[in-house]
Amino acid sequence: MNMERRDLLAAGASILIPLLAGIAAAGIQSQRMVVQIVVWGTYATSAAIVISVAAIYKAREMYGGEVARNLELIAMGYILFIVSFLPHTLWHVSGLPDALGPGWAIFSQAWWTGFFHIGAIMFFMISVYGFYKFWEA
Amino acid sequence: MGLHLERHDYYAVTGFLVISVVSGFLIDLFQNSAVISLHDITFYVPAVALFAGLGFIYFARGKYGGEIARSLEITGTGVGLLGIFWLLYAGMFASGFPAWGISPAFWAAFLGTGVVTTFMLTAYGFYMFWKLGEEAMSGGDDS
Repeated sequence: MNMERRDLLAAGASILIPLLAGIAAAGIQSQRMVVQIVVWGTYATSAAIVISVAAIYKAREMYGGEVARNLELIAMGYILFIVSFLPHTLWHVSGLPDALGPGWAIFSQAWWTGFFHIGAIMFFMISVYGFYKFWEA
Repeated sequence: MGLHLERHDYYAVTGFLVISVVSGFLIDLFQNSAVISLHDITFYVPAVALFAGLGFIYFARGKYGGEIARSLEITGTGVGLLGIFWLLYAGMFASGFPAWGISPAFWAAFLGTGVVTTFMLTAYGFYMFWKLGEEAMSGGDDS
């Protein structure tokens, strides 16, 4: 294993912080507040992904070649995922509505189900393809 | 911006995007019966993709060693933990914010924050890709 002490500490914190957040929030009764927590989480997730994409953008200059290519694939999956994740969550918490509004009726509840859900899988798969290239290259 | 992608990478990315859009119309055709079951099943599948990613990272790290292996391991830990959080997070949505023996707010905050922190861990891995690469470029001087 090539990870150093502070890398493992960061990994531990990524489990500990959510646990503390859960304990701190456990007493909240209001259903609206619960939904709000999830929406905030989605905004913060989007921010985390933006940081990843920015770091990849800088890292690719350092390596070039195959490594840069693999990192770019991972970033593309991340970018597509971030674009779909926030509307996906808002769509869930607003009760899986039918469409964007009048004139967009072709985008039924069924359409959004297919697009958001298959999309989440596909966009992760683009990133996974990047990880696969690291191995296969 | 001078991407290093090759032609078939663009095909793959476009293909995945097209599949997502076409899925929408296919599900729309089959309507109600399919919607409910597809909705439940697909909740969990992204986690499967993430665990596959973890597997590839595990095999890839042996091929590189050094700073690339370390960066990959950090990102891989993030991806693996995200997969676990995703399963529970999706389960929470699928069951409509359950209490699961504690309270709905506990799980919303725990799982919602977990998705954030594990994505942050992958971001840290990518950041190390940058920082360690920069050090290697500048001759690997101290710090």
